[in-house]
Amino acid sequence: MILTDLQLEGFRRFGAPVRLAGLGAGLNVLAAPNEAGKSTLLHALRAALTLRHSSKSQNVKDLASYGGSAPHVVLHFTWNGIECALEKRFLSKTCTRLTLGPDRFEGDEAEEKLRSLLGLAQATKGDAGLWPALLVGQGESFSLPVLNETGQASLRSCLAQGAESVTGGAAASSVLAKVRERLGTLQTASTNQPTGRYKKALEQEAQAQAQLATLEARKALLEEDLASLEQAHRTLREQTNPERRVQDEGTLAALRAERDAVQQLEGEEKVARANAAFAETTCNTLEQDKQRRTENKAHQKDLLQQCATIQQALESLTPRVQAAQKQRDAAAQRRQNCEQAHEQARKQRMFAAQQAALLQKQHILAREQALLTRAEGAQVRLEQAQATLAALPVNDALMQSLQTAERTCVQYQAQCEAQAPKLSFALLPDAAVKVKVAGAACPQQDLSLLQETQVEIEDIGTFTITPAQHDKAGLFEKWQAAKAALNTLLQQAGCQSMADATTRYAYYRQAQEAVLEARAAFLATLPEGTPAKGGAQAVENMRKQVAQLSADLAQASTLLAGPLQDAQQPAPPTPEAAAEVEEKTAFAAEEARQIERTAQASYEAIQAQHQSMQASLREVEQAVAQTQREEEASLARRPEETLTADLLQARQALLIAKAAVEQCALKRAQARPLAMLESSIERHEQKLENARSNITQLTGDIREREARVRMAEGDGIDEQIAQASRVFERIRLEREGYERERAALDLLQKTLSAAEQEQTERYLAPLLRTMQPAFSSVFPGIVVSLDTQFKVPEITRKQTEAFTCLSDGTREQIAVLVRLGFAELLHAQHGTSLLVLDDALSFSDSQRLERVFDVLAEAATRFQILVLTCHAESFTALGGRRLSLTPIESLTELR
Amino acid sequence: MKFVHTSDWQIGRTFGFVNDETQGALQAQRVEVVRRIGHLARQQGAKHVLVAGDIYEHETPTERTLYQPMERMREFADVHWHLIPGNHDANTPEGVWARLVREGGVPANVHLHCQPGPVQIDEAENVWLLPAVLQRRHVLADLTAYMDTAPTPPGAVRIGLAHGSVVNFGNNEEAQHNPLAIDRAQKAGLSYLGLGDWHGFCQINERTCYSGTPEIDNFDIGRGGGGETLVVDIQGATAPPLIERHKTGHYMWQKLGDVTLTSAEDIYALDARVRGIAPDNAGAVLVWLTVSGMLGVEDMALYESLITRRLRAAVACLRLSGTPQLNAGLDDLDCFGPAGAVRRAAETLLAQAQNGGAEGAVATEALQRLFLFWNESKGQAA
Repeated sequence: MILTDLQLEGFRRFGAPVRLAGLGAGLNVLAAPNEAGKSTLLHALRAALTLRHSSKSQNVKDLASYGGSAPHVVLHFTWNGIECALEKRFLSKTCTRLTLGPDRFEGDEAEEKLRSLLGLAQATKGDAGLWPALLVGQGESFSLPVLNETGQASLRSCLAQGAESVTGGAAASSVLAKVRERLGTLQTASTNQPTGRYKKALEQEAQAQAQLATLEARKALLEEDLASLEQAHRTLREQTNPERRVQDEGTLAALRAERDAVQQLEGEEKVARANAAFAETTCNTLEQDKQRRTENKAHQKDLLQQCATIQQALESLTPRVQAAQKQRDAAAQRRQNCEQAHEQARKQRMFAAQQAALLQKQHILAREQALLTRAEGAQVRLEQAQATLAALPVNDALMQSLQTAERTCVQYQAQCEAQAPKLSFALLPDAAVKVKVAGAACPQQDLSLLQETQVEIEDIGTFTITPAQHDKAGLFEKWQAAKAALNTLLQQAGCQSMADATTRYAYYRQAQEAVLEARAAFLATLPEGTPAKGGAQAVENMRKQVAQLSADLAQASTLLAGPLQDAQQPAPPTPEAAAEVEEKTAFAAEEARQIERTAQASYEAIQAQHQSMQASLREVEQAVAQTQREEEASLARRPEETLTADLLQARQALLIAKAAVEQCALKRAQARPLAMLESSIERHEQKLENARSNITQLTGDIREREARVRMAEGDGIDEQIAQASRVFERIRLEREGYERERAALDLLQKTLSAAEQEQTERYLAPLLRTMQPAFSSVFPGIVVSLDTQFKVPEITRKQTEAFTCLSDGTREQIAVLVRLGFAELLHAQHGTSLLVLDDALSFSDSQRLERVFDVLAEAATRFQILVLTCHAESFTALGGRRLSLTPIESLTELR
Repeated sequence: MKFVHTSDWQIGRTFGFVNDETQGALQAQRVEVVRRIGHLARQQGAKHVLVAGDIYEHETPTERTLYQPMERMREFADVHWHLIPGNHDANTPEGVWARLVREGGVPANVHLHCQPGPVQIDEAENVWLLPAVLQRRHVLADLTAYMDTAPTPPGAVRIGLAHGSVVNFGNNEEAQHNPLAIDRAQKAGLSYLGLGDWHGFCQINERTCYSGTPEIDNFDIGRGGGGETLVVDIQGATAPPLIERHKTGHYMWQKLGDVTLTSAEDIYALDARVRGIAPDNAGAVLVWLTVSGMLGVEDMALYESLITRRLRAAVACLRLSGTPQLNAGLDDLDCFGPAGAVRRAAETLLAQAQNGGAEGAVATEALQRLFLFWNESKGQAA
């Protein structure tokens, strides 16, 4: 297929008719800037070849021009040497016209003929087969061509024709598709997880199994209930058996009678033991009484001996007590004397100290009064200096204003004089006196005429010179105003002139210095740390302090006046002497107190010893009296003879009681133990109680189990289990069937895929052989592989690299070469082909681009290649026919 | 005295190998046969129907199942139905009979015999029924032994009714449970001993018979027959009973074992054989085929079409055990062409199938499916 002419109108930017001029066999290049319409040309070509004129799809609508006119294209080409032409109009007044040599077709017939020509006869509507891979749009060259079934079938068709003995490829795909479709109803394609009927069967089987397990559990529970129910009925019958009840109650009554007899025997034994214990107690009491009387007599004798010893010791201790008492009284008297002397000395020392403090206060008061007087004098002087300063009118501010006004005045005067006309006199030496200017002698230097000036020349007359005013009047007025302002300020200051004002300002500065000196003097009289502005307050504080000191002194004098008046005796000693005397007397007093304490302790010790002995004597005397009383009481209670007789009688009674106890113990040993009887009775009572309780419990249990059984009966548990088993079995068989089917389909799929892969690899060999030279030219040493979808999964140079990991430029070059391979294959099988690249290879470096150009140029010797690019300079090296877009008046319709 | 003898109704029985539709129909017929028995009794002038146990399949049927036979019997108020428990519906304390009595679900014309002992059922003809009552599912004692000494008035017609297995009848294993003496009728002076438990008709001796189930419920009922009800006529206490067999079953159950298929003729013959069981009523046929053999590719397709699809739709139930194996050779693969991916895959699968074993079975099935898919593809292409 060789395009020879392409005309279009109504396509996107091409509202008006335009022709792609210069088309011919081999390599064709249209280099045009962006938005020149290159992509629109490609879309028009695609539409002409692959879209039906009657199509109303969005693709067709998108082709319409911006002006709204219907897309219209006329294409001339040769097909295996036959001149052909194709015209299509879309959307409005649609038509298709096709001429193939002498044959002419229109409408749908033309469409079908065209699709047959392009190998799309078997394709579905809208399916463009391999052509999208050969008509490569902008941006599409970066990716490998994605072929649909028709496109792949086209290639397979080419390959199958080229590869002998390869058949059944399409059939294998068809069968494999069916297998996958069927397998897809059982498992997911991605993860092979159960799905559809198989998954449902698995879920149903699990549910059925769970349901069956639940029912069988309920059945087991029911059977347990039934067994328990039967057991409960049996037990209940046993428990409610009247004969057994009578027998149990009789046994219990016999046990109770036996227990009563044993209890009576125990009572008798208890009484005998009590009697024996009483007899033993009586016997012991009497023997103890006898023993006590003997002991009491011996004790009484010991006590009397102790009394005599204590009385003898008391008599020797009494003189020592009296001596200690006298010694203690003497020490007390001495201590009182010493304490009085100490008190007198302490008073003397305090009086001396008060007198010394009064004198100290008088000194302080005198010093403070002197300081106050000096400060007050300095304060008066400061106030006088400040009053003098305040009376001077020319202060800093006024002087500054005056100086400013004077400068302004001088400034304006200078300006006036600078602009004023100058009057110069050059008089003869004798004429100077004859000329007067403004009534004064003629000046020697130039005179600025600021105002009307009269020049009087003796003997000549008077000249009045009036300077021209022009624009100098304003400046003159400003000068005059400045002078008036200066004079006003001078009047305020009471000065006649600036010199007077300067003099007065000097006075002012002197007064300021005087104030500073007076303030410094005043501050020097004040206490340290007084702030500069706190002078008056400090003086006032000093006054208050002096007043306070005076009051304190007066009060101290008053307090001290009393003692002074009483002091008729010699003058008091100094504080130090008084303190020394006080210390000595204090020491003496402390010494006297120590002696007194020692004497007191000695006295108290010997006094305590005396009292203790007296107490011991009293206790022993009381004990003697007590033993005597007890002896008398005992004898009164039971005389000695009576006691001996009672003791004999008690010993005989004890022997009798012990014999009675032994008799009872023998009887008890022959009977069953009471505890055992009690336990047996309790056990039998419990048994009867348990029986009653069991009956109640069994009745409730039976009721409860019967209710459960009724419920299970109502549900028909056995029938439900049978039904659930049946469902479970059916689903299990169904699931096993699916598993068999799945295994078979899986095996079939794998086997078919492997076979197809093997066959594909075999029949892809021609395509790879076709593509390999071009790849080797661009990528020396490269080995390319293709998968069954005609994609390049990887390339091998020094190492294997995945296609997706390659750079953008390399990927694009490979993708272009793959498309070129498709075109080559098509050409090899059908003798005609076409490849159109729009804006491809933009990312290729110059060296790689050169190689690709070589490949394209070489391929273009066999079939037509149309390159559309906006990189005119880069693609200059490509060579080929240079195309251009030329406006035309109208399309050459095929009528 | 004419009466009807039946047993083993097994109401509520389920069938795991049939679909839900057939399951419902089978169950419905097991109830419906009660009506047919009632009509048979009326037709034969029998006032009494003796049912020798296993009226119910389960000890705890659903309420509908429980009352269905009772309500069918209620429709025949002029017929007295005498029922005894069987091993499936033994008279346990909380069993099906206690439940019926407790719920008041027993019609007046239905008599439950839950205690052993003579019961006069026809005063005019002095007919006494001696029921043997199973109190549990299985017992080791012969519950008919009491009949030897059970008193009845002189000249009475003594009819025994029991459920179990007669011993010394080539069934030692079965007779371990619920054994019955083979000569009980003679020992106990019975005019007739009606038995239940075996689902096919079986006459033990002159006076002892198993009636079999009135509606067949299995492909293998042991001793042939089935689907029958007996009408017994006793003309006196010592006269031998006249026993007539009447067909009451609706469904025909047929088991065809060892069906070997090796050719298309075999397949057509099998189809004709099954359809011949009930030429006018194939829908009432349940058939169980045990199939084996080797079939070629074309014959396998025929088998799939004729037997597993069409014949299955024709009968009530087509149960298949086994399947013919695919007998494919390289010649059979020629349909896939001389070469190509499909041919190559078929060769691989055939080789695996010929290796046998579990993997070979999967490969065989895969190969069969490949043929099917291939034929579908060809059909679509055509």
